[in-house]
Amino acid sequence: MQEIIMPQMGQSVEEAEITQWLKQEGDSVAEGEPIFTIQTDKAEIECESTATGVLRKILVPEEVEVPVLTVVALVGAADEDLPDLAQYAVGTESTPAASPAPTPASEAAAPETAPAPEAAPAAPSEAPVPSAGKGFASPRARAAGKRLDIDARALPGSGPGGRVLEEDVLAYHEAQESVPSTPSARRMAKMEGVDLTAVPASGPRGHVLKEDVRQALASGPAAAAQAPLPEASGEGKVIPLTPMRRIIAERMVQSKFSAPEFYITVEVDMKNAVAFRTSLPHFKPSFNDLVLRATARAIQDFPQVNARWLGDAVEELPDINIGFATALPEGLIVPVIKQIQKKSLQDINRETKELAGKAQAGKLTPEDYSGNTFTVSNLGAFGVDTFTAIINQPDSAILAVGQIKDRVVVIDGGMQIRPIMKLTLSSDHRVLDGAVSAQFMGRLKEILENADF
Amino acid sequence: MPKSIMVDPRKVRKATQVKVGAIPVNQYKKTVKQEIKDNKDLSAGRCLRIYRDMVLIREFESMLDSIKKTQKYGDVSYMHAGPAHLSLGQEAAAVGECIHLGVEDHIWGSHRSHGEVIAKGLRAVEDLQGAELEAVMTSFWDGRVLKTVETHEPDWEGLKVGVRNAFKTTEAEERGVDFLIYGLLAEIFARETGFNKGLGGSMHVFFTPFGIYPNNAIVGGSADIATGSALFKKCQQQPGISVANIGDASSGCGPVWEALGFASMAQFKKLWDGAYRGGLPMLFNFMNNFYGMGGQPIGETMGYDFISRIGSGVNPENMHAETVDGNNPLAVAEAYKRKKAILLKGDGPVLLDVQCYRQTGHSPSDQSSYREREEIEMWRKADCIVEFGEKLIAAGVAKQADLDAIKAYAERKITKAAKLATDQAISPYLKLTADAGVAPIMFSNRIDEDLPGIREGDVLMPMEECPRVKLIAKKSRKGIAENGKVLKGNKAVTFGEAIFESVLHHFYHDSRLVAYGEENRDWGGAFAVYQGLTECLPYHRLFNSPISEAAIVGTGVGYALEGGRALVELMYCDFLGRAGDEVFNQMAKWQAMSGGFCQMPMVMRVSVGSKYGAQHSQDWTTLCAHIPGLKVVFPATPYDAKGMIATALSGSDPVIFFESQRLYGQTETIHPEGVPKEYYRIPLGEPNMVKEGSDLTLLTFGATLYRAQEAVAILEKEHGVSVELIDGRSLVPFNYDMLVESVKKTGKLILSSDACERGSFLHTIAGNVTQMAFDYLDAPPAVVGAQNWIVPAYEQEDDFFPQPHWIVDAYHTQIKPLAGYTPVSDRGVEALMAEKRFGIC
Repeated sequence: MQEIIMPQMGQSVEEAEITQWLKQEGDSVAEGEPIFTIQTDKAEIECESTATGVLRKILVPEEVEVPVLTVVALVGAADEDLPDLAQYAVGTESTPAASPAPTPASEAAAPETAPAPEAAPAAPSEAPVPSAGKGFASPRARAAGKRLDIDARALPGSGPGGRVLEEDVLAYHEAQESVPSTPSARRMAKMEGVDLTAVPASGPRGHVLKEDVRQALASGPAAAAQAPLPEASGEGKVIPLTPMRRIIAERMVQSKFSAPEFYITVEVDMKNAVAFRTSLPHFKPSFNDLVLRATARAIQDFPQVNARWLGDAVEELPDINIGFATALPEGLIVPVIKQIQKKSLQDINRETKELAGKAQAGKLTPEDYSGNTFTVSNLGAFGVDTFTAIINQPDSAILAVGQIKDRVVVIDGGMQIRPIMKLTLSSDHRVLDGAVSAQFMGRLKEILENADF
Repeated sequence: MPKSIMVDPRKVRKATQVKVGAIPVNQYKKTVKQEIKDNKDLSAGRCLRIYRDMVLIREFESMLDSIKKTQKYGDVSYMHAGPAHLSLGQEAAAVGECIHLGVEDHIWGSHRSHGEVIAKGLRAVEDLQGAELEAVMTSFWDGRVLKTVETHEPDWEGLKVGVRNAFKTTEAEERGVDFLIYGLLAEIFARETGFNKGLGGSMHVFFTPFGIYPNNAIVGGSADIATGSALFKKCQQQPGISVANIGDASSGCGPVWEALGFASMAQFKKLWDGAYRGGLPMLFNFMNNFYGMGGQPIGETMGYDFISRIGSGVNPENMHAETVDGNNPLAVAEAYKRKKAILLKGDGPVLLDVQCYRQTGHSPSDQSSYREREEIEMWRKADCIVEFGEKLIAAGVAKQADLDAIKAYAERKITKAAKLATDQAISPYLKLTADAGVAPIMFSNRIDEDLPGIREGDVLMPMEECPRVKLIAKKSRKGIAENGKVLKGNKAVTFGEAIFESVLHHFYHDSRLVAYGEENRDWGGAFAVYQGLTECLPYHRLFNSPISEAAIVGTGVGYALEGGRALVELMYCDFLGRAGDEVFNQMAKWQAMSGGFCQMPMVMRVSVGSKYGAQHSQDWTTLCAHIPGLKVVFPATPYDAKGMIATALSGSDPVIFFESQRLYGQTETIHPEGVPKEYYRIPLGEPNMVKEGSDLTLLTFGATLYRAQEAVAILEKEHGVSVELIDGRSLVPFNYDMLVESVKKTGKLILSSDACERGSFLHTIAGNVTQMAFDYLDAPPAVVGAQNWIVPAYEQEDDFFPQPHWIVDAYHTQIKPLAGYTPVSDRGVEALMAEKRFGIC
């Protein structure tokens, strides 16, 4: 099967319209034979076929303007099977080249030809709606949507021209409520506008889980309806979820899907810290204790890092409560050292030991693992050099700590061997900008390298 | 159409001639000396008063002229942006008119009436001085006007002039003079301390306690209103006469001619009974200064040689018309003395052509491009004040020094008023906000819970003996029988009968009430609402008017402003245009323009037609609702009509009471309790919940209600849409509570009435609801009005007026598509826009 494309007739022509098909489906056509005429913004031109065979499928009808190079027809043998035509669908979504709908960026790029100024503010900030009526919701429907946390404009509407009415929102809400699902799945579905009725359920008794929603999101709205989660093959070992597993899954997905993260990695020369650690007469802090202490000090200089996202504001918190991720056989837990800025290195050392012990013994109380404002995750003990961690919400950042490893570094033009530790900060870009996070990491590096505990 | 007047062909067809007698022109010949000698009313002191009054007017108008042209008068600097139509040169006409007018004689003026206000006011101050005057001044606006002239620059030095001090004024009178001049000037300068709180202004200022009734900025506007005042005096047996001071050019205005006709109806002298028999005490005083603004009625824009000639076209008495020399106050006074006697004898009306001359322009900006300087100079040489001063000296009444003293006196008086009235601290402006100033006085909102009763002779039989009352007593009060069947008008009380019941009640309990209009007596109105009233009421309470819509409404305005209660009728809504000024500028405005001092207890019944095509079938409720100052109601059921007309007739505000001709025979099918036999009132402005529902709110006004009921049946039975149906009942006022609550519930609103869609009041309501309940709307409010065409013939009316399926179409097309429904009409956006482009939709 051969594709006939809309030819590029001159550099400046971006779109053209077939004014007349000279061949109809089923007609034989030879290469070089006129097959259709087009109208560009300059002239009407007769176009020749680029293939020989039978015109099997006309993809672009007459009088429809399409971008140049769009496939307009298929020519092949009379008995050849047609390929999946969906790939040739002409429209703003499926054909990247065919998206003439102006975006704010493209308007900005061409100010001379931009529409009248008053038209600009009216343009919705989302992608412009392709067909009239789609995406319109009555004020009452929008109010109901707001009340029920549903984006009314995203729903199909039963009003004139597809206008969404209140009853459409209520019906959608009712349908969502009737789908067996976990509360967090419902929350996420609402937040992301996922229709639960179209999400395949993997939970017990047919419940839709948050993971199901996440998968539906990942595979796109269309895929959500078509691509169910895999069924258990029967060959593997099916491990039921523990409550902890489920919570971890939910919270990580929530974090990953709500916080736009960015990552900053620094190398820290731990030579002085190593010396400091062994120089203490009364106790020997762990490297993790040193990192916690240094982190607390750095946060005091950059309180922006100790903040949480409130949706319509950012709250900088007065106390620095640092959680440290602790691995357990069934998952992981994050005990929290409260008001760490008031605590000495010795206090920190004692408290981490205490909390880690309780964690291993399963004796942490909720009070012990809540209230975090920042989290440190240390995989150094597992021989990890560097990694990125997912923010432990409601924190706005998490520090991923790698192992300390002797490496060759260049100092003053000469090679030296130094104990190097790599630190990676994941920051929520809604709260923190690159410069602040970078400065924070610079300060942390400085404290650790100067052993300024 | 009384049966007593036989149209006999033998008489009608007889050969004869119409004889028009002579009309006197400038027949006054007396000198001042003769008058003082022969006329007990005209002493030397009176002559000096006349001179003083003219000089005060002259100084007052000169002050305004100076302020308008130079922004200065003596030491007073002021910029007056508003109007100042001055009567410099016409002082003798104003003062001469008022010499024989008492406080009980009421003058109604024009845009150029400062002089008449001063002349009439000075006469009233003189007549009332003492306890009466003090009572007026201390009570008016709680004494605020008086207090201003008392507190600031009090100067009660009177005049003592003339040979043997023939003219002396007292302190009490001087207080009254200052009160008058200041109250007038503060009003002209739009001050809260003015006679009308600054809401009347130069062209409208008035002060009824002195017998000075509204001046009118619409040319000839006072002609029919003053006639209503005279009607009041006749019907209520009040003393005095009514005078319309209108300009010569107003003789070109239709409503003036209508007023002449109304005032001279033969029935007053031939059909009215007993004490009520006789012509109206009405005097049409044409202040003939020979110019409109610039056009000249005599010789250019009209056909007559003398305005007084008009009288010969009106009645066999030629309206006792006369042309008098308005440049001579004594000539005018002498004419008034004679004419007043004619009027009080019951031989009115009278027409006077008072020739005078406006020496300055129409307004200070007028360059007098339309007349020769020579002409102005001639009149200045014949200046009425100079001439009269010379006559006083010649008659030995005054010396030049006396005249100089009067001039100095006038300057003193006017200077004081000008100083006070231009001082913002002393004379502030009225604060105009949503809840202060003019807003609370647009309507007086009084309801007479108890009616005052009637006098002997006001009714002809006990109410229960009225044949129509007996007939109605046999009917069911409910429109739906026990078995659910709808009763016809011959079995149950109809809409027309319901109105009749309330009107009858008011006629038997309120002597102030009169009703008139075309065919109101005998016929009972074109739609027989008053059938049976003729038997119960004498002519002075119910009579036929000429086919003069302007005069019907205008006289009602005058009657109401005098304190009467007028119930007038326009046979078809389509005739409203004939009374446009009277409804829109007069009936609507005077409560507010009086500063809240006057009330307008007037009800205008207007019948909204159908079946008779383009000029007899229009619903113009919207036009009336647009005009501030009118209450506009449109009941659709007998129960509502009876209760609402009772409220309208008990209130103090002008109410336009629309009635649909489709409904006169309608029985009560909406209110299940039927029409109570007893008298009751329904507050105006409250819509009625006809039926509750949950999916759609449907609001109608007028007869559309019944077609809306059919639409409700279709929507509910065929499409499962539950409809809340509300009858608006009243356009102004309109309480939005019920409607907004309903829309909050249903989220959807269709509005329908028989008014043409374009500019319909329904759009105002739709717009307001959109503002009041935007977030509750599930669709844009849909307005289903009549087509924006002429009304076609009866046979094709269903293509013009809203039909049940139009409402269903609106729901389907504009609110929510109905499954399996095919709309009959195209109400799509594109169709609407296309038609609008052609101006037909």
